[in-house]
Amino acid sequence: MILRVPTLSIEYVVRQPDSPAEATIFQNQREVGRLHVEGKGMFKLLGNENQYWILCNKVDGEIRPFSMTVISGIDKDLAMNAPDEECVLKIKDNLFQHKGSFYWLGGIPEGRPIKAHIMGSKIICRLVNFPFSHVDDVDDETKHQLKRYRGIYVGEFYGLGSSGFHLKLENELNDIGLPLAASSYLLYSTR
Amino acid sequence: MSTQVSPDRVGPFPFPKSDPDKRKNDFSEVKIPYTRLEVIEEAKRCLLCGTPVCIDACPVQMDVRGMCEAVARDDMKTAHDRIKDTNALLGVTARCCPQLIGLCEDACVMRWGGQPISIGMIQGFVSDWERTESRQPDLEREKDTEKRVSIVGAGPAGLAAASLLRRYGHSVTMYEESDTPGGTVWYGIPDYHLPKDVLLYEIQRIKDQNVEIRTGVKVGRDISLSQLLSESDAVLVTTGPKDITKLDTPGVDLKGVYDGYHFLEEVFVNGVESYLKNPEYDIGKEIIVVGGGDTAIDDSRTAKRLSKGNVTLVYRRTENEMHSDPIMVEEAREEGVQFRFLTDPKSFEGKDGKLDSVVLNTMKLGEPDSTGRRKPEPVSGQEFVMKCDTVLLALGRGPNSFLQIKEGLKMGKKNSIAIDERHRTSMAGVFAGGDVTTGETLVVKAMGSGRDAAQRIHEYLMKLEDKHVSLYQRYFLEGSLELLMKGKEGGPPPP
Repeated sequence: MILRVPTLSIEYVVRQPDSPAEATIFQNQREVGRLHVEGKGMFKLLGNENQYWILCNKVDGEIRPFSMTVISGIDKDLAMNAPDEECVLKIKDNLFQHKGSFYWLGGIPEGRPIKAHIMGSKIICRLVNFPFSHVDDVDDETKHQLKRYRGIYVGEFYGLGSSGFHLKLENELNDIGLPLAASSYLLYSTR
Repeated sequence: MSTQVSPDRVGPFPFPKSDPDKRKNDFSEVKIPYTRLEVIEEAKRCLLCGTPVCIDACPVQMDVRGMCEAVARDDMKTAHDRIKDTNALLGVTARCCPQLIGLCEDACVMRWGGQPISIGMIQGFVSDWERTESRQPDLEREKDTEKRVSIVGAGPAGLAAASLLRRYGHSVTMYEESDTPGGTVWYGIPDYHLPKDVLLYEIQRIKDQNVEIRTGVKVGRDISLSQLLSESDAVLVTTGPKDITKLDTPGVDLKGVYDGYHFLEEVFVNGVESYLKNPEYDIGKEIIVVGGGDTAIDDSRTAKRLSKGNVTLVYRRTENEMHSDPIMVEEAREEGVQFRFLTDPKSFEGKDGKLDSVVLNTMKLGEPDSTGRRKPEPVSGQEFVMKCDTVLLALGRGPNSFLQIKEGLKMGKKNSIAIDERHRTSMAGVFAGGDVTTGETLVVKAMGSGRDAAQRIHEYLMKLEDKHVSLYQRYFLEGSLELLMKGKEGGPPPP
């Protein structure tokens, strides 16, 4: 079996300064975003060029583990129950969709065993032939059986905010890289 | 708060184990517990994260961070109170959860720079401390509501639900088909993972909450759902997984080809000592196990212990595609179980109705299937024969379909009970949770589903449905650091 060697072109580093309510995001050692608490379970991500996003831990009106809704530049009250078409990113139970593909945060790449992922980085996988058309349609049985699934390696993340949380991505996730860096830091690292 | 990530666990990774050359000859526990000093040192490695992802990853939201904070101070009582609050089967889940695979230890941020906190070992120590050294009072209960709930099936989902419903003050009666409660945990988990006395103790603690368990009663045969409903305000069905995946391979009916789930049940249902006095199976010395999951591994290790012979696990894909706990695979190897990958039975052969060999296909991996794993396909002309006395089949289990077929409950995938987001079935007043709604999962996931269903029943009984707050949401809103600090003084609040 020949494993594809990943060529990760994008890297974000999230650093948490003294206050746990804030974090700064860097790319190529240049600051590209700032993250701060807007309220309980609500964060604001400020990018360059006056861009901003609201990150909310409610998905479809419910707080769920490893789930987050990211809305671009709208009022935070609207973000709580924003319709899907206004979401930049909707992570639900470690899964999200982007441009028609399903991605799994903390997945297992095809051709590699589970035991290779017990420690170290968590992998982002694009799921292949995933039998659902929308993240809301994924049933409980499939969620419980996810460890049987494998995908294509498209990125990885690791690290603490205090020493630097790193998110590395392939180009296919470039356009949601910054909100994904902020979300994955909030969901999988610590503040 | 410390931000230094220390490298490794206090003990060996993943945990200390007994000598494989000794343990393969008996059914004693594989894990060797930490000493009190070790467990305190391990808990001190916890960073007490502001965002405790370990708790997010736990299906019953066990307060892992609070446990580590208390254990690090050598305060076992507080640690126990904090984790018992949401986990009715502490000793069971400490031993049966694959913590490193998608659960608390997999989420632990210590994985980034070293090894994750050994949460299962700490939890096991705290639960054993309570069981053997310092029995703690029963969990606090709200006053009786005079509402009655019947639970069908006393497996992990039902037991977790019963404990929560009692804490809400409802009267609970459980109906269990077997002679002993526990479900899969009782009959499907070998003694080398889970000694029976641990489970029996935790079932007794649930009974001590005034949960009545009527064993030897099969709902749908001895009593109908409508009868139960007439005696109760709500019924919860948690009948678990049962329907096995069958092969149609030629020769599958030969004597010597057995269902691996039934095999484990027969060996462990009354404790292995009981089985050894009167063994039902004559498995011989050459055993083949077919499957790639945890049950196939347990069948292999159990057959190895019973036969002292050669056990070979055959799996149609490669080790990379196996979904069993890799630590169990490693333990099986240590004990001498052989593995043959890319191999699948073509036919079972025998004489006079008795198995004596298996014809096996050599497989290759083709295009990815719907799981993203490459689909195994037989390689023409590369069949081969293995002599054997016994074949154990462990190809997966679907939901137990008996009750839904018998009582006409609406069914979903693989004959599961179809439920809505409130865990309601198609019959008014009847709810369902656990593996009967999803197919076979983990003990702790079944418990989480059972607790969610219990929460919905409580809201239904108390007319609080419009004010629903999920157990995770409540943990998130009421837990966090505030609960940790509160727990230092007065212990965690009631459910």
